[in-house]
Amino acid sequence: MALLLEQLLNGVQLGVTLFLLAAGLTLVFGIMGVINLAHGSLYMIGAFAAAWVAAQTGSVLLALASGLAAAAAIGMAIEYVMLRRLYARDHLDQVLATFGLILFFNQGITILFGRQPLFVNLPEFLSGAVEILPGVPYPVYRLVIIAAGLLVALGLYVLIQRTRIGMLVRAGATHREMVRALGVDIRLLYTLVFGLGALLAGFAGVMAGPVYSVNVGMGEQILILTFVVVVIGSVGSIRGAMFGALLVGIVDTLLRAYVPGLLRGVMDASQADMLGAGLASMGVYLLMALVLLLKPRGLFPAHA
Amino acid sequence: MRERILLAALLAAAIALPWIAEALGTPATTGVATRIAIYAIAAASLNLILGYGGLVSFGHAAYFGLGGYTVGILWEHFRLGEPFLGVIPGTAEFLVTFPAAILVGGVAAAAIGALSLRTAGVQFIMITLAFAQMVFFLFVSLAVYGGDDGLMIRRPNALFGLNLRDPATMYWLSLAVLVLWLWQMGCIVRSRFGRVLEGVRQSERRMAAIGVPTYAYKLAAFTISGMACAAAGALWANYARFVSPDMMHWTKSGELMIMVILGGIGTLLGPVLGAAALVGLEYTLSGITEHWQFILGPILIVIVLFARKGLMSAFGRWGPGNG
Amino acid sequence: MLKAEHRLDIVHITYRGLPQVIPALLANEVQMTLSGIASAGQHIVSGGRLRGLAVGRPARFPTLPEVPTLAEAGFGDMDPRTWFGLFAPAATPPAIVSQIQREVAAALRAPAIAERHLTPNGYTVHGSEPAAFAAFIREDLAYKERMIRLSGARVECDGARIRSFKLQRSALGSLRRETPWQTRAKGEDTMTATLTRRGVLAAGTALAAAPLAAPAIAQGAPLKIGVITTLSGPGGYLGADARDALLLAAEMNDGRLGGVPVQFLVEDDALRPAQGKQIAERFLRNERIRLFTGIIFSNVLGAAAPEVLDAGGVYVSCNAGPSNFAGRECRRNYFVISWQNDNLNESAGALANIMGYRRVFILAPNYQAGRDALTGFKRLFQGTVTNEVYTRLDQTDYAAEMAQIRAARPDAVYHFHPGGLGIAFIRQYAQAGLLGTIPQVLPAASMDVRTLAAVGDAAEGVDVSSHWNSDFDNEQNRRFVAAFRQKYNRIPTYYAQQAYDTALAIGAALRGAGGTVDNTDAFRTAMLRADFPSTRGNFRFGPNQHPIQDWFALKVERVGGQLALVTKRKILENHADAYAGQCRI
Repeated sequence: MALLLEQLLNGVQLGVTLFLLAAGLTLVFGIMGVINLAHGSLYMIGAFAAAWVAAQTGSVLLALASGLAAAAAIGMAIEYVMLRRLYARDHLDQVLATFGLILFFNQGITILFGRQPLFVNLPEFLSGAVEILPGVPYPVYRLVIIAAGLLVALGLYVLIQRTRIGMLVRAGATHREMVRALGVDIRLLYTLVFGLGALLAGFAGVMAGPVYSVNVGMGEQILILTFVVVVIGSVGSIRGAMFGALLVGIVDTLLRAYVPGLLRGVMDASQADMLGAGLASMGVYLLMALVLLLKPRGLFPAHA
Repeated sequence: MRERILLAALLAAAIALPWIAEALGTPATTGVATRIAIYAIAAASLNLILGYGGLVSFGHAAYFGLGGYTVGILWEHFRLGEPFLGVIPGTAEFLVTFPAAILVGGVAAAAIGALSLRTAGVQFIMITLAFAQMVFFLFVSLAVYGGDDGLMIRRPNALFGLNLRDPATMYWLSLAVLVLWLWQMGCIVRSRFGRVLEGVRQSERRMAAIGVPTYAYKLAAFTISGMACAAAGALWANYARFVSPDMMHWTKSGELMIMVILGGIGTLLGPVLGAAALVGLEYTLSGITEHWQFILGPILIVIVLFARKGLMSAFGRWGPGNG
Repeated sequence: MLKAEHRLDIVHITYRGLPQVIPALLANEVQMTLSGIASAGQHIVSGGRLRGLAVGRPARFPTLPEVPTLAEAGFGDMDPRTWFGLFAPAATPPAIVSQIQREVAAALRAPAIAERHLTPNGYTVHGSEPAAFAAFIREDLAYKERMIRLSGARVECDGARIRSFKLQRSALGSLRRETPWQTRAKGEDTMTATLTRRGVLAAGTALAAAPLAAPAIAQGAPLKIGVITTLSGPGGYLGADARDALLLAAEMNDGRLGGVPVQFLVEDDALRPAQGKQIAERFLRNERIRLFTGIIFSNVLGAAAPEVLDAGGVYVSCNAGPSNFAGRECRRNYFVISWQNDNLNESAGALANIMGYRRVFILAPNYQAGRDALTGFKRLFQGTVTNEVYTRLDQTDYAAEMAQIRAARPDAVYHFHPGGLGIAFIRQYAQAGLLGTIPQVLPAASMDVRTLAAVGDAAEGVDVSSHWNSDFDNEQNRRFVAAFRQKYNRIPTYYAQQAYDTALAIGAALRGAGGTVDNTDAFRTAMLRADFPSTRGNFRFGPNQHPIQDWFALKVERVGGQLALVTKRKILENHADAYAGQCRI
């Protein structure tokens, strides 16, 4: 029982990280119509910036600030230099160009930091574990991630549902052309949205650094899952991103935790674990395929 | 006429490549050229549905991998002497493994296509990706076929006594298959089938309105494309004598897409150019610096921003199969 | 050399021979010459009319005690020497060669000859065996090559060469007329031979008469060694350490291993078997490399090594030692200097027994070395394994596993996580609150000095089993650790140590095989003698060409305020691997 609870929490933690990424991605895709493969790179940049600053200064706040700043700044730069020329182009061109960005950033980080992963030392008050239930210690830091993610979700909800900007975002996600026709400065909106997405990605990177390792290529690893979340939750929907992220996070974690065990009943340990790991990883994609076949627009489609 | 002469000259140069390479003292070029040829086949197969059909499949590497693993698995069972699933005996005969790979690719494409083609747009992209990832993780989890570490194929398949270990022989075989496939694609594109496909790309609604069963046509094209991609995979297995789940990873699909886009979508020779460009760039740049991707990235971006139709557009209007 | 390297302002005036030089010297027409002790010594000793500036030998000459050696005079890089040796035709049966060598060496050392005629004239008698003589010739060649380069001498058109060749014919003739013997006498004599073109050609032709016909020694090109290793990703520092140690070993010997100048070609396999295989293929095909080393991860080895071995090359493993290549699939040209993977984990199992743990939870990544690890641990561990869990090689999040460990409540946890994987696991172990409660028994792979530095306090008190530690007290190890720390500013991990030993082993094998890998049988014979001083102390090969060595228990303790790995005691002695019996070479 305790094991299950711990695994559920792990799933929620993964889900929250995915949400931070998916929220940005779904907004960019929904409102701007741009597929941005380099979203994972912004996540990586945030992680590296924070890890490096943390190693140099030892300050949590500075690390957080620099991670966010780096991701946002580079995000804006990408948007200004490159992305705005791609709004009118079709998805293929966007895929190609942003793939080029991935290569560029990955190698750039390698040149700057070398190929070794960076390790982040957590400050005292964040490491260690607390007993959430008697006899069930859980790492403090992961709880912090969950809390931070939920706070951001709340903030986004307020932003999207209760502010004017949020209204424009929702409108843009529903029907882009109409918003432009109504005279809204779409360029500014786009830049803002992209900046927000970059910020969220950077934040996810900063938070994830101490848990996973900060290495080149970490962006691509999580990007694919992020896309799955976006598709399941419907493009353009923050609510869908939240729900999809939690669903994917929990399903993935639980499958990885329990499927190998189930298989050990029928085959030897090493084979069971290997097959189990493979099947567990397949699980999320199976889930996405199922959702798409039943509800091709995702679970929370923006249009009617 | 000029086109034909140019094409013939190109073909002649391609055939003579191993001798030229030897004469110039760079025998490694033959290996690189073989790789280009094999990737060109795969990219061309993707081009059929992407360029002509407008279907963006982000999971084409799955067929490439399945083709390769067919050869690999048949070899493994041949080596062990046990039949696959207790019924199918292993073999190392190219004339058996090659068609087998094509068959497997076709079946897989038909199955995946049947499900995926129910969606469209970005959902189609994602669902093809999902299926490819499933195949990837399936092979990663099969310890008996090497899992993540891959499968070594100690000897290439036997084909009429040809030694496929010899780089030149392998190259000519791949070149032959490439030429065959491109010619085949040319026929398809010019045929009625190809015209319908083009029409579907331009406007599916219109085609449906005039009574064309678009789903069937798309599925047929998808299946043919998968078969050709698997053929490329089978050739790769013989060339590298090693297959691994890497062949089916989504980044491999991405590379294939890049080759198609880079070379020029919807052109016959575009994929060949794209494959040559990407493999060639990687080969030369990695000789200069280990951070070659740092240069490749911006090159790709520049090409996308300024050379809208890919490399083929740089070669002007001529070139067969334009559109 | 005096002019080129030491920048002395000397004008070289040529005379036809020493008899013409001495009077000129005495008459102060020239101020300095180079000659043998025999000819000039008497003028120095008896007349005091010539002053000895220096002698070119290791120690001062007995009859000229006031004359310093070149080294003492500050010209230690010059080593002028001529030597005499006996050669036999190449096809002479080895038995006859040995017999001749023995007799002549005895004769040379006989007091009547040595003390009466050779030593007083400045000769040192060696009487060495063929292999050593060949190595000496090679070293000498390299030195002479340097001389030739410094002198700027060039081979000119054939006519001139033939002319000079005739001039030398008498010299050669006298050499050849002698009955063929094989000995070596070393005379610290004339240096002029090396500085004039005549001398250069003489050296060249004398060597041409040498029956050591293998073309390899005649070329000055360095031997290329292919190093395929992991330089990127969390396992990147493992390969970096190995590479750095290989380079250091060669550097410490003047760019040579076993007297042979070597060149390492290093490439990154990124922990991908396909990539390792491709690099091997490229090295074999384009660079024509025959000797390989460097691979850290066993899955890469599984793809790349067969490629090398099938093509007739030699692979010397500096780290990976999977069980399949130790048993049924062993190969004649495959040597392992590090360990057989199981052994490391067997030692951890033995350590767990010693520590009294009855129930242990074990984990490893799901690839060959990981599976070997758990098999190895279970082989010697006598208690119960509560859980046997396989993680993924690309896994960085161990939350699920931590939960399982907590639920199982074992006496101890054993896990095999090389490189960055270990760092992530150990930190998350501490974060999950398990550090104080459930002790860890680790193989060195999961806790090397870099892991220790990265996890810090999360490692205190952990027990580790290893074949080596940087604090081992033998001369070779002390030299190695000091040199490594000085050059690279960090403590070497065992990956560096193993690579260093590998370089020395390769050197010893090259020395014994005549400086080339072309004859793989000779290389193998020489390699299996393990004729090198290992940083571990004891080292020898088992019948399957894997090491037989001792294993030790280490502990992470505070030494002077810093956490360090401290050697505690020996766990296993002369431990062989379990697969040797299956190997049929």
